[in-house]
Amino acid sequence: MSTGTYLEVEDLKVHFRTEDGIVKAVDGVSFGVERGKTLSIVGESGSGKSVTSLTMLGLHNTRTATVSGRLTIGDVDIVSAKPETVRRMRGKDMSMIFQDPLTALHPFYSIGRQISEAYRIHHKVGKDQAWKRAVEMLDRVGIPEPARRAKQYPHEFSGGMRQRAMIAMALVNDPNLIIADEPTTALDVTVQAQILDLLEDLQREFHSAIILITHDLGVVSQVADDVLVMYGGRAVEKGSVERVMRSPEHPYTWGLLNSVPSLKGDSNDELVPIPGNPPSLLNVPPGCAFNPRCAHAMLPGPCAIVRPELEVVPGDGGHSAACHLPVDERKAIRESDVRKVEV
Amino acid sequence: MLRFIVRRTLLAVVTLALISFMTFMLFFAVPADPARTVCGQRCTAEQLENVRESLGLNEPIMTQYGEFMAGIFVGRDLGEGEFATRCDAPCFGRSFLSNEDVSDMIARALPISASIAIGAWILQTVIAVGLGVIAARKRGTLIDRFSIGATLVGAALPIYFVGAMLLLIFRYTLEWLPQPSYISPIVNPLGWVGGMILPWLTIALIGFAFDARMTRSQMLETLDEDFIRTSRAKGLRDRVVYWRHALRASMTPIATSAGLGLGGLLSGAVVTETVFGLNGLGKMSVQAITGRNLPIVMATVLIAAFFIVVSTAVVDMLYAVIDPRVRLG
Repeated sequence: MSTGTYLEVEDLKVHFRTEDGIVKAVDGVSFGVERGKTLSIVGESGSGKSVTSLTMLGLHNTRTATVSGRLTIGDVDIVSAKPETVRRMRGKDMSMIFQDPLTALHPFYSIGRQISEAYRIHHKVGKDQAWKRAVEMLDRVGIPEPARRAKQYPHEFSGGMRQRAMIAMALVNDPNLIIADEPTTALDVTVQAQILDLLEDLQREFHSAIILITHDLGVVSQVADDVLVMYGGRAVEKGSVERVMRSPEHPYTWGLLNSVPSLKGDSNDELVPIPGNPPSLLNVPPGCAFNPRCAHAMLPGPCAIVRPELEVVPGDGGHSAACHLPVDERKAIRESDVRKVEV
Repeated sequence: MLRFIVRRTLLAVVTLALISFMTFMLFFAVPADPARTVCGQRCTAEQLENVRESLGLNEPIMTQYGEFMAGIFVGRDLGEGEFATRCDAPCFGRSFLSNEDVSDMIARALPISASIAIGAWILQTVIAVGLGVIAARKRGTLIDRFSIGATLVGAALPIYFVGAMLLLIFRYTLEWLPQPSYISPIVNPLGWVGGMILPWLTIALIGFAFDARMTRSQMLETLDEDFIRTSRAKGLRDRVVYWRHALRASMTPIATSAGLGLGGLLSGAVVTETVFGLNGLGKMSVQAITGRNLPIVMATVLIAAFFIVVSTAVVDMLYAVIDPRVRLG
């Protein structure tokens, strides 16, 4: 089995034409994932993470979007491939798990029908055989009495069971790449951990690459191998989960870490929200997009003028950040002000 | 589900009973003497009294209503003494003008109205849903604008104009179609279609507008749903996404509107029948009302109410077929 990079994204840009101007939802992002590894894309809503994931499936709005750069899955460049080629790959080579399994499943079709349909799109098999496969998958994702449950409808499932069914549907064709868009956000905390465990188990079994989109750094530390932090349509920090969580380099990442409640930490630790709101992607601030919300921005100065590029952190291979602050200064602030998240 | 059907049927029966009672009462509230209609212009006071007696108009009104209703289910004797004759169930009485059994007249008019209604309904529903889905799929394009424009034109034109124009074009100018008439579909199915096609087109061209617009807007709403994104993410072809997943989820309001529309069409299409010279229920009921021909009015109103009530009940049951979330209890 190949261990090379299965998904490779290079300078991906997704711009939407709207009445008010061009929305730069994704503006030059690069990353890659190997099979068997999990990359977590982290950011607030409006950071471009969901658009990135939809573009990977070719599900962005093709009428208004302009996509440039390279997005290779297996050997196929999704950006330049024909829509029909991408359609044939969807659900088979790459598949998606959505945030809210109640709205993401068709309310009028039985669970078994929806899963067997997904199988039959990519396999020339009869209905009975596909149904059998669906029941197998339901069993595999830990749904009790799968044969009976397959005949039921989404509204007859609990939230956690629904997400398991969604996962069964996403995995029914053994995809090499699974994109999970906030798969646990809509679930109870107790169920969240089970779903994450299940994903990890399945990843080990199927050796697939996973892209986990989330805003929850707790989830990231639990399952990810690598992290990509997005802000304003661009990557502001990326690296292995250990490096990014233990020694985060970007003030935005610090802000995210400081707003995560910690069970192990000192209970007097206050949660510090990041002030302000994410920028409008229609009108991203010049310089560093984060500068208006950054407590450490050098203003007036480079932060509001020059857009920082991702730069490798010295002595920390594979970890890079896009910040104008000098490395020593970042280290000093990190050690005094930033909460640690256990990895 | 069975309990639901039983409950729904009972409700329908009660509704029909109420409607029949109200129609009966309404007719007697009008300041016109049915006996005078029957007796005619030159009528002595004595003749009038005789007519009144033979029609049972001197009985208390509740008794009259009771006898009328009983006639529908078990039949009754009409007339007095030696002139009394048997009117078999379902007896709606006899026409005040021709003295013909109303049930016979209905038996003649109903197949015509039903033929017009069912054909027109199928045609208009197919056009409406088809156009609605296509317009939604091609939202914002010329195809979308054209179909929505077509619905506006359709909705704005009066039936008699469309009917007359179609008749002029297809019957007289091009001579492609015969004069509209009713031929029994059992005897001659092709002749039936040929004789009915113009009324069908007329009704469908005007009737599809509302359902087409509703289908389009419902589809557009559905297309924004998460599960449509999921169906694309599975790799389904667009065709399946639109015509199966999205249309199925948009079905509830479409079935409501189309189902109730069929009920309305079945009770008679007055203008269409008049334009094409077809003697269906619609024409019959209008003539009966202007002629104060109570038995026919009662019968046509009851039949219309029956179709509406049944179609409402069927639509209610359809909800459960369409949406599994309704299949509770």
